[in-house]
Amino acid sequence: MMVLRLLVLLATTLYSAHAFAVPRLSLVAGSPCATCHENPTGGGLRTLVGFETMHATAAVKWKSAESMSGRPIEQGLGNLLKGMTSNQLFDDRLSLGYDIRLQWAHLGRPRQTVDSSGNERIEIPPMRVIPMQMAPYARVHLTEWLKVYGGFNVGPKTFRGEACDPHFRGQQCFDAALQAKAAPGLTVRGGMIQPSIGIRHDDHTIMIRGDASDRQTPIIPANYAEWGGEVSYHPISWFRVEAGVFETSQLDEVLNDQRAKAGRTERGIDMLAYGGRITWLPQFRLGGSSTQAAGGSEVSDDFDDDFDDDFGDDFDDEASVAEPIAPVAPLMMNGWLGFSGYGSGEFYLLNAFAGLGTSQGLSFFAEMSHSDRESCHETWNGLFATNWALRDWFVLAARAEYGWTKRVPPPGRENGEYTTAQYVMGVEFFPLPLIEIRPEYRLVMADEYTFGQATVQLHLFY
Amino acid sequence: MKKRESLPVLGSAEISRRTLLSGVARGGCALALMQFGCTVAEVTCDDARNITFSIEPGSPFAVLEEVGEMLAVDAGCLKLVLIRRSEEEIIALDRICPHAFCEMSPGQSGVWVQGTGDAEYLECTCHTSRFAADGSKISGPTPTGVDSFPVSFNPDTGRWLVEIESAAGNQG
Repeated sequence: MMVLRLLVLLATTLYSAHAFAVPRLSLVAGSPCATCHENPTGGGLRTLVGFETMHATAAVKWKSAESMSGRPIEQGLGNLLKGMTSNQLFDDRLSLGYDIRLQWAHLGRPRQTVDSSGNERIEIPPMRVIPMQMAPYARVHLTEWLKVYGGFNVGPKTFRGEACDPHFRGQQCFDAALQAKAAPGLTVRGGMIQPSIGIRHDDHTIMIRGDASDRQTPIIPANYAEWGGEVSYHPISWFRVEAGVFETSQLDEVLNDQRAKAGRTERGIDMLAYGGRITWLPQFRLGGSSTQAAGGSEVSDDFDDDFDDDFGDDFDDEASVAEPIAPVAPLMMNGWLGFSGYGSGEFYLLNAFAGLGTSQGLSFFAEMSHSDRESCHETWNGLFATNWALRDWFVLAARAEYGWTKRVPPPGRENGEYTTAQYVMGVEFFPLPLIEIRPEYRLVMADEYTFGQATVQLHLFY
Repeated sequence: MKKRESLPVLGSAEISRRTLLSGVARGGCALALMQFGCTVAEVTCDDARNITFSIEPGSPFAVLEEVGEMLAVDAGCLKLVLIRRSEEEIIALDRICPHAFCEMSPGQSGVWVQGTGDAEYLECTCHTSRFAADGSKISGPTPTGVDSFPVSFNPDTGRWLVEIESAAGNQG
């Protein structure tokens, strides 16, 4: 009962949730997002592969722990999460999961104020604990080829009777899809889904889908979703294409610069939106081998005949031939190159993205986006990011972003061009399985202010 | 001799519990120091100036001819929304909601509801914070009201004046 009360207390202070994906994992692993997530666009409920990967990603792993002073570590941790070794239930028919994120940050921007003595000073928003996300997920396998999955975004008003309480305009409170494997490499999904647009990122402050003139109204907010359907074709490991048709209620809410106009079409949005994405995912083997020398393999045969070391010994002795060489994981380089388009009526959003990642944990990716709409409101955004996994549980991350928006300025503003640059450096630290601590330093340089601050995110997930 | 306890499987190497806890403590202290020492804040926009305008057809302020209409106006660092409250009155409020800093302007996250008493308000549609005509908080998650600024009409010149320079802003 106490746990339930604490959960309710936590939930009632929460903003609505965002589903996040972690692009670097796809680049490093050389796998598409669908390998680790039930949602093929990434984010949300993890597949068994995704769950087991993240469950093994920790500085202290109790699953593979050796005895500590004679006691298994599970007991040392009070049996905490003992038995939570999988997110699959009932022979994989049902899968459950969640994401909970708390963020410590100064929310807002600095403002110039005048105190009672007439002195100008700069006021910084107070530090706040921001409940960024609380989202439960579920997936049910109806048949081998048909599944249904979804998630719900809990907001402050959810436990006060108002189920839907989105933070951003255009944000949905839930997503749900019926997904079918129609043929090898061919998947069809329909429901309340997010179209495949560029790269799906794991930080809602990323500007690539945003608007430099209004950061509280991103063009494609976290958890943006519409009723629609999408076909995904992945015939070969290095090529993937998606195409879909969607309703536009949420898009209209986001883009509604002209509320005076009566209908959606008069605001430059059609009743349907169309989207598509094409991605090449090449992989290159740079080195390393999985050959073992035990048992007289090809490698040891070569050494048998020809090799003498400087001391006159040769290695053609029984001990060397019999000694196995441990398999060496191949060094892989994985890449992305892709384009996406999404539009309705007078609005369009185009994205181009590219990335490189190595199986050693280093990754780079870049993305650009361009949008335009009827009311002379144009955006260009760019992102460059890099990650370096020093250990699987300790990842250095950095990114640089730039956003430019041109729109009709309000009276009093000289021009209608808005620019914002953002630099973020941080660490993804997994001290225990299913827990992430993410300290970061964020520097925002907008037209009218510069603001740098340290932030910390606590992420609990399953 | 007391057996040294060690935490198994820390990445690829064993470390002691003391080392791990020490590292976490140091990291936490570093983070706390960053909070106090590394916060950078600079405002680069111009100081706010008084705004004078006339409501003429074809001007940016023409929308204020109709009662109930709103217009976003920038005055240097200050972001205002002008609202035609009645035939005789225009009010000027800070259009940045103190809750999550949404812009309460037409076409973004602001809606003006005509009425009397608490039935008349400026609403931030992000999270339904509501503000009275004087900027005071009516309801919602906003921690405070918003600043309001005096607006007067000069019948001789036919121009309206929003006083910003001399007014520190009357926070509701």
